[in-house]
Amino acid sequence: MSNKPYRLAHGGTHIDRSRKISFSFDGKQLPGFAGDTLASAVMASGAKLFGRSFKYHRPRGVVGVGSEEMNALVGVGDGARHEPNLRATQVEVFDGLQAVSQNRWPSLAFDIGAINSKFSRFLPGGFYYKTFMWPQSFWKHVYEPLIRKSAGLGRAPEGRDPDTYEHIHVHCDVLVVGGGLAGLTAAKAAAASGAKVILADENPALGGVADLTAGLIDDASLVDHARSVADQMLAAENVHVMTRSTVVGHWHHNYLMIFQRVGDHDPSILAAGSPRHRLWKVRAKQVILATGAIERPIAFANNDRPGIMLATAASAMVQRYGVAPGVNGIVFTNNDNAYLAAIDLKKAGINICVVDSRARAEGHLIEQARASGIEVSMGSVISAVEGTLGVTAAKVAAYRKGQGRVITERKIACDFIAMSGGFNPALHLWCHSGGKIKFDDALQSFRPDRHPDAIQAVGAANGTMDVATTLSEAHAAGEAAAKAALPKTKTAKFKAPEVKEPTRAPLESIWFAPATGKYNEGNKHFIDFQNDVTVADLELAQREGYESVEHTKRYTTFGMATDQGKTSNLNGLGILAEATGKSIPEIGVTTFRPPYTPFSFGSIAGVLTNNLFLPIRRTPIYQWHVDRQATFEPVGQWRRAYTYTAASEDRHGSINREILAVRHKVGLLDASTLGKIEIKGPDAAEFLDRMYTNMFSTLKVGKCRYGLMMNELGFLTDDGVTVRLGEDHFLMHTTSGGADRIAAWLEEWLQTEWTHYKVFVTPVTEQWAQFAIAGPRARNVLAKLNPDFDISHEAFPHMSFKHGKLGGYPVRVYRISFSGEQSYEVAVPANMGRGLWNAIMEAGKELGIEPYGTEALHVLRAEKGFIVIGDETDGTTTPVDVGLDGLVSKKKADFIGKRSLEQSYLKGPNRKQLVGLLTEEPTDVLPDGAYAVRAVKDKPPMDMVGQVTSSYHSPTLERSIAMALIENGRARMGETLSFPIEGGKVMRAKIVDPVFYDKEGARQNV
Amino acid sequence: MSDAAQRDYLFIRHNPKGLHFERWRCDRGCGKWFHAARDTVTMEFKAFYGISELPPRELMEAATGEWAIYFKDKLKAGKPA
Repeated sequence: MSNKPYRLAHGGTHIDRSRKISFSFDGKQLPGFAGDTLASAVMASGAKLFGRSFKYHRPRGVVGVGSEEMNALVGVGDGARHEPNLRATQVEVFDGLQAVSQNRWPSLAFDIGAINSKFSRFLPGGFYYKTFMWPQSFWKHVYEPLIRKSAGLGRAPEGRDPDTYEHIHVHCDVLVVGGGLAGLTAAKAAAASGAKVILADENPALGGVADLTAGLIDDASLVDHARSVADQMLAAENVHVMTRSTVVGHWHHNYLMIFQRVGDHDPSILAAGSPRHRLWKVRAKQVILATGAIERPIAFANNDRPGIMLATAASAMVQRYGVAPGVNGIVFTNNDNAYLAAIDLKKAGINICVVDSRARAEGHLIEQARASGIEVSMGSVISAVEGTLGVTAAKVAAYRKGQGRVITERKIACDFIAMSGGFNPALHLWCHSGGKIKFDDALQSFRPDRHPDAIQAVGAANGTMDVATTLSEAHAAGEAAAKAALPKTKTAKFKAPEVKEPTRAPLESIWFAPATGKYNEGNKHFIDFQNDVTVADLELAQREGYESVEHTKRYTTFGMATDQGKTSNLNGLGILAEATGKSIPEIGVTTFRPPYTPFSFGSIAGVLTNNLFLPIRRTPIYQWHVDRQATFEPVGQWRRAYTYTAASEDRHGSINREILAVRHKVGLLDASTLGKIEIKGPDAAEFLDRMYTNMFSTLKVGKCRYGLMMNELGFLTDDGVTVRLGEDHFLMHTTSGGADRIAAWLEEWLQTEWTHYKVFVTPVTEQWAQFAIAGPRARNVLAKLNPDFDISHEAFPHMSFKHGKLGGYPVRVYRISFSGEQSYEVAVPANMGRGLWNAIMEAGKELGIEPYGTEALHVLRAEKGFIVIGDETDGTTTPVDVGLDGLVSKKKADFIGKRSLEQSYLKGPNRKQLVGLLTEEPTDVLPDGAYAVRAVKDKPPMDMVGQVTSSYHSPTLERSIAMALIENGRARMGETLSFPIEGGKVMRAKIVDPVFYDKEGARQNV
Repeated sequence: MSDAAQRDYLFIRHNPKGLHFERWRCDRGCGKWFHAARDTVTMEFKAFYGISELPPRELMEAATGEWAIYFKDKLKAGKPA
């Protein structure tokens, strides 16, 4: 790496030479000025190397000037603040900035992965598809680690992101994207009519490429004109100017996202408490795209060497940052614009010559270049580049369009090359949401055509490459947009400014600059620098039969890197067109997708992190559970107490203790999360008959019934006990996770299909705290709480309901049981929940009451063979599959899922049926989800006949139990199945009835 | 209803490029169901109408597939909303 400083003595419109700063790059401390980008400041030190390429690990330097940069990707910041894959051309340096290059090991100048480059003939296009195919096991242990180590870009940050992010939602009349001459003119015209305008630009300052464009407006320089309009926009009250703000995507109905980098460039902004990034979500009545154009590289041999830049980038380095890209340079072009760069470079004291692929061309800029003493070689190309870590010389050869190889070359010593293959309008946003484009012969590129939304493109984004037309069309667009957004406004008179600009000769496309031999070893003509795709790769894909450009893109990965093909896309199409003998429009374009440039995950999340990511729902008893050291389990958004583990025991111990307390004494469960929906109205009973598989119209007031709910496909979606509170009044219980879904499901049918029903559906889950008092002593607990209703078994039998007072609290009591024990579920208004809970615990103290959590609940129900929706069912399970066909009414005329349940494929043989399993070894607990196989083999695949749906150690039975869905399970009672589990072990289990305990149901019925 | 008819009811959807007649729900708000006629190419909503109402006549006339069949009788009845 040369250490020769390249900072020029004068110049640099963007830097403040009075403010010196110091930053580090790859651990080395470097100086810079305020206003420098990382690219300019590092290049000022004489360094050219910024990273290694993705596949071949070739040394790479800066190519572009802004967001189009594809090579110089760096990681910025330390530790948790580290952000990988930023473009060095956009990173603004500040005192103390830490940046590192990426994808190199052990160092930038010496990289072991570069060995790939020597073997590149074995890494052709589609290499990944061809090579890493077989054997399968090699993927995990050989190929993937290898690819991950040698490929990839930056490293992910470590630790929690210490910064904050936010979202802002806004509406505006006109959103102008891009703050160059076109955008400024459009914004001014729109604002003059009083429209509310947002003007967003990705750069730190407005002005676009006015400083890199030739011309005068009303005898003022383009820069001065742009600055004057920019000042007016900053001062205007109805214009919101946003800099460092990239419009990353456009979606239908003019919905756009703006990624604003608030604090990246200045740590004091973050220190003051500002968010680092903001994501603006904008709904604009009108959109004007003034996104400019992106310069095209030229595909010549070894066109990726450090020191080879786009012509505008080389010129910008000098004019904006006072940094010379080198001492001796060649401008290689096919158009007139690059002559301006040559002139400006020459003015800065750099030796420059021009190589122009056109046989002849005449224009003001060419004349001016010649007049300033620049040697111009027309009808020539750069046929090869020498040097590896930097350019040392270029070979120049005579060329005429379409030539496949060159014969004689002459060598020119140089240390940088500025290339320009023309300009591509930045169509990305235009195309994100359905905009059509057309090929323009003069540009040799695509430009906007039609768009379904209220959106216009102006200036270079519209393919307009001269200043005069840009100004007039931008003004017209701004005015039209304001008028469309605010039809009543009057437009002011507009006097077109007088523009002086050079004449230009037409450009002539050059998609491939020939070398002496097309595929000479070492001659790589790069199209996609970031993904290391060459002309040879594209031509190979074409020979291999990839006709569609979308297929070629995926096969070769051209245009698929983080730069989204900004510089590579059209050049690739040009190569494919030449290879197939078709025109570029016939080849077609690949799809532009958001985002325009990558934006941070932090900005996507905004403030919705931690507790705000997903709200946590807590029951009225939550704090009591916390105080009792409960471990919690998420159930939907709820946090439910899983088990209450005392200091003297482990979790297994506490779960077993809780289960045995319910079986032998009494337990108390916080069941408040249980979904509760009140259903009221004259048609409520008939409505429930249609929603459930079983009958509810016959249910007597004061009684409870377990119901099953299916979707229209005949598959189980929910279950629970419904109580008839009154003739027209029901209370439905749903699963804890299903409460919202089922309420919406009921509403959907009432609102869309059975609109004649007089029924109200009211979710009341949060209105009630609900507890299960379960166990042989449950009634004794109730008795101690002075109920004002008869709790005798005769007066209050299983599956019935009472309301009244308990311990002074107004309660609804349902005698229902999910544990198989004598059980009362007590519901009390939520605000009294904690009081009643305490009262029950107090009353139950001498009866040995213990709180139990969700794990005990699950084991208790599994011992009884009760299903849980989502455990024993998976969305393709019918009531018949789980052995509940008795609950599917044969009398009802219709109910949801009835017809589907009769479909032949749900009645056919080999359905998986719910069974119980007892392992041969009682201490073996089958893993949840373990597969039963027809025959055990040495390795997968093995024929599977079913899977474990629930599996526990049962302290009641002092052995393991499991439930499973097994093909034809009910006909296979007594059969022993094999379950291969990890580590080569095979568990064997016998198929049994799924009810393991108290088969007659006697215990709940006393 | 035959097995084939039930299959079609459950799984076969008319999915033209263009005009669709859809049921929507105010999911994060009032929970109300309503109808919308929407163009799936331009994403433009052509009309909103109540769950028991019909779309404007010109949209019914532009309908295709099963929607056209459904609207045919309504158009004949001559009193669309």
